Amino acid sequence: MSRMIHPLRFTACMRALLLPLSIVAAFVFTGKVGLMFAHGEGYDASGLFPPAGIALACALVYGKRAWPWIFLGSLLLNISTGFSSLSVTILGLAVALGLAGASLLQATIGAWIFRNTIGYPLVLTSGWLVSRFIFSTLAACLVSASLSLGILMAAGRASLETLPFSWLTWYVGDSLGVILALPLTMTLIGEPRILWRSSRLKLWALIGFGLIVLGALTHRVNVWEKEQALAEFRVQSQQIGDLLLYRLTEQEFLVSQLAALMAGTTPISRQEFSRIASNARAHFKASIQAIEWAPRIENSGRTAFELRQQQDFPKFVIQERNATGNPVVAASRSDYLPVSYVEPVSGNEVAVGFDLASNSSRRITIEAARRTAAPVATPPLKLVQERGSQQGLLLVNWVPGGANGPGLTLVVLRLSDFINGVVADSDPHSMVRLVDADAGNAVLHDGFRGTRPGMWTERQFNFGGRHYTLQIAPTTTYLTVHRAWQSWWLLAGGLSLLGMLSISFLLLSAHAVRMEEMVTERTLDLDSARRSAEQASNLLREAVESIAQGFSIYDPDDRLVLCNDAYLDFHGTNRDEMRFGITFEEFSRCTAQSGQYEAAKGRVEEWVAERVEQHRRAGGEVIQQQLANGHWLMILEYRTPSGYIAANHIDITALKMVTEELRQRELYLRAVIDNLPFMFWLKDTDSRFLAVNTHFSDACGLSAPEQMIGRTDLDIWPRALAEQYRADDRKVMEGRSEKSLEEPIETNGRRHWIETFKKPVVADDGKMLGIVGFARDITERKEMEEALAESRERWELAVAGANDGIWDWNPVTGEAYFSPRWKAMLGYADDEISAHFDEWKSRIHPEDAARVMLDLRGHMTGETGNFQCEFRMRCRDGRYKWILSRGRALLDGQGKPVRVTGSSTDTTARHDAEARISDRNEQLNAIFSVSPDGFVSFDRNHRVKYVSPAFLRLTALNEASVVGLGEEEFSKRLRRICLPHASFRGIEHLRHAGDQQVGRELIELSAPCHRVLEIGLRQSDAETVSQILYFRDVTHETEVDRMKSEFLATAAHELRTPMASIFGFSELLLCQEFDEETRRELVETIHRQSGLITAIVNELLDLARIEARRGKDFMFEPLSLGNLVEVAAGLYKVPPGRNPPLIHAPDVSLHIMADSIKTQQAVTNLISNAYKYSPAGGDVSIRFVTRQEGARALAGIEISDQGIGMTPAQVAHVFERFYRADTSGKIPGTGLGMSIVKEIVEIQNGHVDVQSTLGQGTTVTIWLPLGTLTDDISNPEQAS
Amino acid sequence: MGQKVLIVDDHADIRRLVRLTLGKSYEVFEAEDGVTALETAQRERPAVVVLDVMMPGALDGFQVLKAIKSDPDLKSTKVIMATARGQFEDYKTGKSMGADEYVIKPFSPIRLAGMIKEFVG
Repeated sequence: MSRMIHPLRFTACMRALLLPLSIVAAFVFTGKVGLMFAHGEGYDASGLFPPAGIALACALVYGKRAWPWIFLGSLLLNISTGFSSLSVTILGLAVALGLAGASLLQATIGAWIFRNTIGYPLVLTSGWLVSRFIFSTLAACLVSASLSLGILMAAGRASLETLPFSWLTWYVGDSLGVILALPLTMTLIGEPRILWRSSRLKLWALIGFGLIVLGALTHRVNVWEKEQALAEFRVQSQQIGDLLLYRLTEQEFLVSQLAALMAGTTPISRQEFSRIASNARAHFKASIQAIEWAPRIENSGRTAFELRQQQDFPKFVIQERNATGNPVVAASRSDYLPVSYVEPVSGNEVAVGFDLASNSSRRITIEAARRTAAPVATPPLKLVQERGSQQGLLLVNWVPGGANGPGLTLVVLRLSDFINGVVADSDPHSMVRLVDADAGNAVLHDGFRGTRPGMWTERQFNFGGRHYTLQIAPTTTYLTVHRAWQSWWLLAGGLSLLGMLSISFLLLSAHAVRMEEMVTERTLDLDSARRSAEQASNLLREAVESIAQGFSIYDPDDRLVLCNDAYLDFHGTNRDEMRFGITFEEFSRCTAQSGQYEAAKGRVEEWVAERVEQHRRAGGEVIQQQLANGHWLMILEYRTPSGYIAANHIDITALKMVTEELRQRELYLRAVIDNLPFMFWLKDTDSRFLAVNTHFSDACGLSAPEQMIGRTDLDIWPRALAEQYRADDRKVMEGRSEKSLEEPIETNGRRHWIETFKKPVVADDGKMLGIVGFARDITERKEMEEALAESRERWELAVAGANDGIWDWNPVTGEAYFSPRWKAMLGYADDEISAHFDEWKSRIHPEDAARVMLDLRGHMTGETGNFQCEFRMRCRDGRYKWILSRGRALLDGQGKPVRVTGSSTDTTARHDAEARISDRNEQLNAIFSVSPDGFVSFDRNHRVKYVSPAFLRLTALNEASVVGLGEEEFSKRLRRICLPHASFRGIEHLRHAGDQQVGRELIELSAPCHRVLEIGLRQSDAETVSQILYFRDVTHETEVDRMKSEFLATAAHELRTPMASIFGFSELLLCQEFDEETRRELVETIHRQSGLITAIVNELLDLARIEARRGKDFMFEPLSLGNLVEVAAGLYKVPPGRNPPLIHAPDVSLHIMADSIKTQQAVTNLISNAYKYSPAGGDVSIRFVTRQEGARALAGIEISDQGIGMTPAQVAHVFERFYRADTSGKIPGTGLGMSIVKEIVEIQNGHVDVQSTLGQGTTVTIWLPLGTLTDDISNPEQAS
Repeated sequence: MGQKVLIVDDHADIRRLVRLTLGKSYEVFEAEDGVTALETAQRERPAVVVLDVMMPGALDGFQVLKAIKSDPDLKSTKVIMATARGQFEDYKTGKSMGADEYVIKPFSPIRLAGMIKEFVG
């Protein structure tokens, strides 16, 4: 949007600002002009102060309105004049404010005095009034002069001695200002306008001319006065200049004398220099900052010089100034001019050691001094010892050489000190300014202190080879003392005279104006009266003729005096047939008889009587008559104050038709509005009913709508209510806005709710015509809503504690209510969600939205009794919450939902928990499903709650048949599948069997197969689980345990048997005497049995080692099967009398990957068995065979005997440890050989075949994989 | 000839040991399996049977013991179990089945002779 100011408004602003700006501008401008007549400086009062008059005039004319601007104008004036000689300070500002206040006060008081003595509008038409004007002015002007000077005194800006004079000038200036400026201002703005405006030009001309003459005169006198004053001052300034020049010349003399001294043949010590210099300072009365000696020092002599100087000044060092003006040790140069002698030292310490050659401006001067050999002054500079802001100057003289060597003598001057010392002695009334003309008129000393004196004298002079200008001006004190009064008196007198003149002029001109005015007015009055009378008469005539209506005038005697053609025409006659003077009755009768009027037909006399009566009444009533030609006339008759009867006859035929049509329309309209299903009314702008329908009139308790017409609400409703309605109407019409409201109305003791809609009726041209209203009874809906709201409130209260949010939706409008809790649930503040259904809908998770809306629609169409749905809603932070929303729709009579109200519960926590539980369940199920152990958990009532899949697998029980069983029932059920000797003793038993936490028991199952289960019971502290039974399949472990103990028993038994022989026989040998042969036999038995024990122990150890190592100590290597068998056969000692084994060499060379030693042992064991179990003899033969077994090729060593052989039952046991086919004990053996063979072969990925026939012999084949070097056999890890 | 003693063991060495220990004071019979042992016992009605447990054949020592003890004709026959089964369970079984003594191999032949002498009186 652009921020343009509308042009009209801009102009208005300008106009509003014009007056204040004018006041301020006039104030400042005239003030400045007035000060031109001033007689002094600064605040000193002016000889003529017009602002006083302007201020008074403005205060008089505008009153309070002008105050701020008077104050502002005065303030600006004071600031602009006062601060020219004063720096802007708080005090200065305060003074300016005070003076402005005083001006304002004077203007206000003055205006008050004027109003009370002369009155306003200001009329100065008599001498008496003029004298009151003068006196009022003189009285009012006491204020500012007194107050202002008081303020200046208090601020120290005025002295007591000049006070009377200041007061007088101020007072006179103000008074003259009022006398002159007030009339001038009044000519611009004053009342009575006519008086002031008429004399405006002349007054301005008079005063303007007077002021110019007076100004010129005053100026002349002023110039003369100044000349007088300055003549005296010039003499004085000449003297001051002379003195100053003299003193400066003295300095030149001093420095050159010192140079001569230093150039002499006598060396001058520091003490001598000090003495001479201090004498010189005392002698030359001028203020000298310092007298110095700066010798020229070569760089080579620098250190020696410094050391010498340090005897007097311990810290002496040649210095210079860095960029920031701080002293630093001088940089190395070819030569230096350090200040070494200084008088006085005090105040000049910083100069000691300062190298004058280090500074460029000084160096130029020094060079000049060298050339001229005369005193040379530096341009204005800041001395190194300067702490203030004075300008300094060095006057130097070069010493080319001598007893003290080359160097410089210097006189250092701080110029303000110097000049003040000189001038103060002579004249306190002068201000001196010294300017170096060679340094671009740089000011060396400014005694003017920033002021611009009105005059000064100037003088050029030379000093130290430079050109200077000396300016001397008189001080204010001087001017005050030398003030001349001639011009002031002239001015004051002149102005007074001018004021008197102008007032006299005003007096005269006012009188003249008044006379002139009176004559003009009277003449104009007469002229215009005559003219208007003529005009009126003409107008009347013309008007009467020109109007289309019939017009007539009858005199008080009822005779026709005037009529127009139209009138005659309506009566079926014309001017020729007509005669004036006829009475109304005669004329009417004539017309009636001619059949002109329809209503008179057949009843002429009656009609005439009627008309005459109406005519005489002439009450302005509307009389309608139909003419014979079908036209309708409307007759209006009225009596004039002078008793004449004027009548209008208007042809209203067209109007009649239109009216008829309108009536028809109105009937239609009425039918329409009466049939509207709500109340309807139309009011005019005064809130009078123009039309209403029957609904409305019924509601108002009136029988017909027509009764309402013309009435107002005040006639119908109680006053308060009616006033309220009318106020509403006004608001609607003024605001041109519609208004809709719902309000309760008490009717017949019952409360109704009425919904009202009002709308202004505006014509096409924007004119307000009235107001139209509609209303209907919404009591039913309202009650329903109230009931709803009430129930909602109750509900909200009820659920507030439950943390549920409430929503309430109007599906018709889409509006919705959400309780603060509902919003808070989603993280919103109460005002962050608008009352619309979309707020609810849009926050539903996209995946849930369709489902939710389906549910909601289903409920709203009556499919479901309640709306209940759980879904995710988006929170303020974008996260989703699970919300359980429950609601119910309220249906209207047609079954359409009008409201749906419900609650929302945050179920996120529950959902999370469920998800966690579900997750955990899955994990547990996964664990249970892979766990080999079965679990059965019991609930708090000790009923089976859960059985794991593993339990069902172990027991082959059906889940349904177990879950829900009590402890005892469960125990029974389990017992049914147990073996009787290892049945389940019951949970109760378990509970007591174990410690507090875990009990264990082993059971054996008969079904589904033989299983040994370990049952454990764990008591649980969990809330839902009282105890857990777990079932572990320990069948294998039990079997291994059993086999282990059996093996141990067998091994023990096998050892005990030979041991029994050894123990028994040896005991016998010890205790009994035997013959040698028996004895030998017994010892042999002992020896044999000992051998057996040893063999058993060895083989047991072999077996144990093989088992324990599981092939890890097997050294796989490529072996030739033939070689292997030959070696093995060679190891076996063939029993005496038996043939060695018959080895059938293989057709091809067979190789295996095997452990040579172990495989040999296996083969040897088999050969040994073959011989052992063929006690009757017969060959033992060895063959080599090969076989393909799936993907692998096997090589076999087949060892056959022709011995006792075995039954199939015996063959089945052949690999059992300690099993021996021979039970006679005749064949020695441990029963472990075959076990060892089996272990060795199987570890090498082979297997052992046994074929045996009882009584015929046995063939045992060792099958081992045929191998090459590259075969997988080469990898023992894989092989094992 | 003295009292009859039946030695039942599948190991010839053990039978020989017992026979040697008893010497000539007793009439000694031998059996190397359960069936033979029972037949011999029923035929000879020995005063003492020294009975091994683990033997080949249809009857083991305990079964033989049971048969002897349940045979009214062999009421007076004392049975000494001489076995390599040293577990306490075996000992208990033997005792419960009516074994009069139970010795575990290896045993002292002198002590066995003492036991037999005691039984015979």
